[in-house]
Amino acid sequence: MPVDQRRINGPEVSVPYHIYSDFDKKSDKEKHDFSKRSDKRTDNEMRKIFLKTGIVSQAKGSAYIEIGNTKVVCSVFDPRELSNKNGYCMQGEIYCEFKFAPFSCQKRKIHQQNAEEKQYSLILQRALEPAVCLHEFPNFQVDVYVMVLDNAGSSLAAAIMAASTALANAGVPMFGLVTASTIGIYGNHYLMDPTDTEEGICNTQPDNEDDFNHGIITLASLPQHNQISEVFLIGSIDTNTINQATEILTAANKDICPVLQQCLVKTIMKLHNEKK
Amino acid sequence: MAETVLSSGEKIFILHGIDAILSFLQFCNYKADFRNDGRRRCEYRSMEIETKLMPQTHGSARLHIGNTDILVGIKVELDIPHADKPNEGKLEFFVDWYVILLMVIIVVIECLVFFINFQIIIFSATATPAFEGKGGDDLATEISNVLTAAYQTRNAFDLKTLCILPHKKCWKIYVDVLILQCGGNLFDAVGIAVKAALNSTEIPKITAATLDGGEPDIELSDDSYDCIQLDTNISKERNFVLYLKYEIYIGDNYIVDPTLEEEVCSTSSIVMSILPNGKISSVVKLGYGSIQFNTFTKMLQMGEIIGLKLNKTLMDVLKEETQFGRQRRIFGFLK
Amino acid sequence: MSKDKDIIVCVPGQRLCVSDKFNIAGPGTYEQQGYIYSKLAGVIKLIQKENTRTIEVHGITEQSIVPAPGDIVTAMVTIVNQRFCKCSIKCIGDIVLTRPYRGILRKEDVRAIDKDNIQMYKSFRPGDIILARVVSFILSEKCYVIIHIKV
Repeated sequence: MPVDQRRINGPEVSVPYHIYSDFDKKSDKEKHDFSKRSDKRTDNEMRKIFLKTGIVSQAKGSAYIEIGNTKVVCSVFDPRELSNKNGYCMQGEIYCEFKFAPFSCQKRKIHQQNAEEKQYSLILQRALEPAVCLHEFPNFQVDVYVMVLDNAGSSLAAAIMAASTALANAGVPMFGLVTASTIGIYGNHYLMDPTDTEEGICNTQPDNEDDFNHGIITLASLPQHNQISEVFLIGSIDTNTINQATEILTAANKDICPVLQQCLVKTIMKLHNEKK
Repeated sequence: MAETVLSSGEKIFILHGIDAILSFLQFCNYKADFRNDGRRRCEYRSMEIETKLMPQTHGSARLHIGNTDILVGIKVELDIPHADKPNEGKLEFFVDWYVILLMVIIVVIECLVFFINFQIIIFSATATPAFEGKGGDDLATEISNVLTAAYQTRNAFDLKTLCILPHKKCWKIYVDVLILQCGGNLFDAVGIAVKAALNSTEIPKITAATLDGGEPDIELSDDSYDCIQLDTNISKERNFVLYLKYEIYIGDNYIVDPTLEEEVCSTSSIVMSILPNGKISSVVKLGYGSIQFNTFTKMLQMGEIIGLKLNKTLMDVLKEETQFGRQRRIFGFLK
Repeated sequence: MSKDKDIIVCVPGQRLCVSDKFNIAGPGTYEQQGYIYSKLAGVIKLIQKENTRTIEVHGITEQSIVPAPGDIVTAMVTIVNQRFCKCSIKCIGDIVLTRPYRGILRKEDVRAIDKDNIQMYKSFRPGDIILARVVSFILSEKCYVIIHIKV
């Protein structure tokens, strides 16, 4: 990994103190009460979404999304020519950069992208590609930058939605809007829109059980066309559970779509009135 | 990265073969799922696999499927556990390219048959949509990411078995994947090769591990043949390694084990990893197209069936290989 | 989606109407399976003709514009040599670009007559602002070929 020479980094090896204080609370996971969630939601309930465009004035298009405590900001820039390519691409490209702010997670992140963030960038790119009319800007590249300001779970889904709103705000031609949602699976529980602690629980398998469903599924779709644009699953889940979960997620994605539409309509109306 | 250039006519040829678009064939109740190499939609190419072929590694495997050639070497080293997971070891994946150099050598050495195969492969960057970007670098990141995701669950690989002394010492397994040739279906090939290599990995046996005044003290067995086989000794019933499978979705139909030409024609694909107990440990969609919900469900089911079958066959073959014992002749690259 | 002060607002992917002989998909829209959908977030404009209606969507932010063959562009000459001069395209039509594009003006494209006697150094100097028409795009050099227009 290349060393960051532009900034003074923190000590090389440091760990958040939480991991030591949590040791005696390890039994928490077993105790975790699945009948009610910490924020009093039901299993199928999503957190409230706040969405706003035009947050970054220097970008062509931008969006800010809040899902519960998860806060993500996204900006999209003008298409630029692909210069360092030795061929001509008939299709345009989307370049995505996903970054957790250094202070966004429990553990401090360094300024350079780590493997997880690089992977999320690629997922974000693939989630958006089916929705954007790539043939409209051949040999050009649209840059999408996503910064997670506060990670309280489901930040990838939030990033995808923010990016799709920002792209629409930037006037990039699109076949449709992309919505995304996350579900955490732990045994028989389907936790819609999990928080970061719930994500942590769903990622670990209880010690004594082998045949146990656990994992996280993030699904991005184009609800206006009934298409899945990206799936990302980790854990250990059987096919039936996946099918059920994807059904819940596609339904949820359809429900979210009006939020994005409303936000965009508001933006258009505002700009239209300003022009007058 | 190798580039495959297909004309639109060639693409249509491949697509129509898969799509079975010839209506008169359907009337005759004739199944027309032909692929350009004569396979059916869910048929694999034949594979060649060899394990324990590199003396310097703790475990290794080489896999040949179609024109894809993968070499996996596994090194085991001592490390200090992560502070937040004190009783777990570490597992890391690295993927590397060696495409261009080796291909040139093969073209020179091998006979004409090989040469004809390589006619369609032109060496340069900007290839199929999947390989676009930083000259295959993205794809290498993608493969290692998918591997990491697939092996994350404890069902796939129990990192606790790699712990020697909690907080102090653990084994770190480096899985280095070298892609020698790319003839399509890299994800599967890498997945199978990694599984075989991990299966053949032997960890040196530790005779004593004590804490001496807060400092860890580890004694290894003197006999270098005295090793622990990763798979069998640690957990008898659980095959810890799993299987990645790759489905490419062309038009309305989907196929497994695509060749490079078929990959060029496809708009999107699903990579999933299946555990021996039938569970799925990771699913990722690749490519720039989107998928319908129904197709996705069908692909998952088909993937599960094929994955389990493939897994069983592979384990049988590997078992057969181990029965030859240490006197087995190693073929390596002299084939 | 919402009607307010006689404007119709739409968002990407929104189904606008049936695509038939009467309704024609215009810029900012696309056709799929017999319907017209919007590509942009913006305002719908209907252009009525005798027996057709073209549906257009105009984005609310200025469109990211890329030179297309036939466009009239304003360019600044940067490098002049005997065979051609390089320019940077500053405007397309009357839209000022945020990022300039590269253009190339060949010797034979300077004027329509007496092409053999053109001398580049006498025609242009670096810094000149010229009006030109885009002809094509060179893949290898990634720049636009333009023809000089005499004003």
